[in-house]
Amino acid sequence: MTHLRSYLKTKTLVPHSRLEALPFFQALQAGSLPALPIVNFLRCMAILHAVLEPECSHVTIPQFTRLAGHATPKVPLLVADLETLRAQTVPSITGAVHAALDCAAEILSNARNPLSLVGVLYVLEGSQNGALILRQAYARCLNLHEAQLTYVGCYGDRTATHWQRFEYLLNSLELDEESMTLVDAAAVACFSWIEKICTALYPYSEQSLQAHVTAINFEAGDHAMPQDPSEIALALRAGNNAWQQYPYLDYRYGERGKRFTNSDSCWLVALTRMPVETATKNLEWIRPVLAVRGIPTVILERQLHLIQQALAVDFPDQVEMRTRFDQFLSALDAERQSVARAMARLIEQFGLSFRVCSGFKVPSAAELIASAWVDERSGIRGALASVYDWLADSRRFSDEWIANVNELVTQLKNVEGSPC
Amino acid sequence: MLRWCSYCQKFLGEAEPYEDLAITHGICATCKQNLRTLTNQGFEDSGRLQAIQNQLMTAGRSGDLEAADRIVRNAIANNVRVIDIFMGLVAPLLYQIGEEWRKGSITVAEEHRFTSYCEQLFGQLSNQVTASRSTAPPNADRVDVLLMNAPGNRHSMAIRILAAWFADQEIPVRVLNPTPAIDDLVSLISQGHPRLLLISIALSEQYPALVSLVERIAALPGPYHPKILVGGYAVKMNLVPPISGTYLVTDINSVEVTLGNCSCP
Repeated sequence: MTHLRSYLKTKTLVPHSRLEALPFFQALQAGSLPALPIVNFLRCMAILHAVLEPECSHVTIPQFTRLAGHATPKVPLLVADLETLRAQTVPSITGAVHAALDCAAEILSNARNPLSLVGVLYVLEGSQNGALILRQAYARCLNLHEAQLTYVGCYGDRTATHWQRFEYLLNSLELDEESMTLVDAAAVACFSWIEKICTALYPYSEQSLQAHVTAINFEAGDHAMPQDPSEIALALRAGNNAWQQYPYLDYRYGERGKRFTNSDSCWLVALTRMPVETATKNLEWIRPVLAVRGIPTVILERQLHLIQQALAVDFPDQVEMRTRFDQFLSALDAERQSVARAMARLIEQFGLSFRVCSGFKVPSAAELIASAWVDERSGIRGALASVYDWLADSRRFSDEWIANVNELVTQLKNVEGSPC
Repeated sequence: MLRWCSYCQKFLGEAEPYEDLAITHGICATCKQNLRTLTNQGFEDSGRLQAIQNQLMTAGRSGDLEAADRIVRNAIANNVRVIDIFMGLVAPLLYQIGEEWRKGSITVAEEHRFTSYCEQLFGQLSNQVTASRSTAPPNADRVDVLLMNAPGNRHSMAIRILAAWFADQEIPVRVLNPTPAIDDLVSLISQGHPRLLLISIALSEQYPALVSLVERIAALPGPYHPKILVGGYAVKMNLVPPISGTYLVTDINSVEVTLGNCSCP
């Protein structure tokens, strides 16, 4: 029986050699590769790993789980490297980023069959072998110490033994010929995508450089982004302020949530360049997207106010920009007008009750629940449950806290005119 | 809503409310002419289309292409045309699946997989769309309609289905995918003199680049100037404002009307 490892090595020989011969790797080895393509390379790898790793974790076949589990998660390493390189401010080489996004979409589309994930894993894990040799070259081009890079050559002096074990686990999959063909196809496709990425990365043209949202959040896909650096800075500041005002976001969504808050904030600032009606429609579009994922509208509303305030300071002449959200914000006011007084009373009353509860506490819980209730009341099905389920989870909160959450929800539902 | 002819099972287009994907029935022009000779068979079959759509959705959720192929072939055997299946059943499912993601009931991975399933199904069956035509397209060298995505929109399924629909109507069509550079597009228009340029826009952020593109085309001399129709998810959801010099089309009926009003240069 043919072993999968030797089968794949033979089948991917040509695309592998073609990849190594690209100007990107030639310049890297010569020490002449600029930092910009390297930062973009890491950005693209983050896009791929951010899709691959969760998909692998969903597979429950034991042999596959052992294989995928042997690979160290790369996303945290890439996050660390991108931070070291202050990548948020480094422009994106759009052709490379688009190729990475297309590759990620293909990984997602094919992930129903774990064999396709095996092919991708083989290529990306295998790339760490060569990367160990190239690590010094990367560090030299970036003017860093080798130790400052964590993704490239991440297995260090354990690389050979790590790979041996990976090969063993690969061979233990014991696949028939048809299955091996599927793994091979995925591996060759992955090589082809990385070739596209690296071809676009170097040499690159000035025209291909853009502020792309993946610089802020490599999981954000491909959405609008301000191109003016001062607008990006403003968006990040507003996002950060919203993040700090609602610690709930950090408790619930962690660092990944922070990246999404930042990329969303960039999108919101980009909306200020659109006509009011369009901005309003887009905000109406995003509202349920957030609300059903546990982010009640009060947070979006706060973020919009923060952006308006920042615009007034940073761009005092651009009056129109800060009026783009007015229609949407006024509609929110109107929507809760009939219940505003009762809501405010309950938020105050339960805010006090939550504060004196024992155990883990989340500031603004009453406000978040009330806002989720308004969302639900306005027709966003699942908005209240998505907040309630987290804030009433007994693994996280005391009985006293949960009793308060339940009582608040009951009282909200009793507010006159509530269809919830 | 999705309107189908009760008698011949031809897809007639969409009707408001667009977000409601329930199937409703009308009568097509041909069947109306032959009304006296028609039986009640069509009405008796009216639940069948909804059943086909539900089966396709179920197969799509589990990525079962074999089942989908079987469902479509059964439908064809029952006189439903492939192009109508894609225009009137599959395309709305793509919209529905996008809405399910928006409402948080499915993950982005599931949405991607469903789209990929539809693309594969279309790939498998697209040759049958034109195979059923009675005649070869007239004047095959000529292109009346150009179809493309707005810069930045990388979802090609909609324009491919639409191209098949035009081909089915024996209207010479060309799909420009990937989206050409503005200069190349201008050159294509100047050489080919298409009557219509249809552009699909998925998200509002593709709007500024689309406006620049439209402005360039508008600057062409009059005779070389195709009518520009802009459609797609962003138009359907009202996420973009009107663009001077273009028609925003929310559904296939508007395309048909515009096409009918559009004389050859």
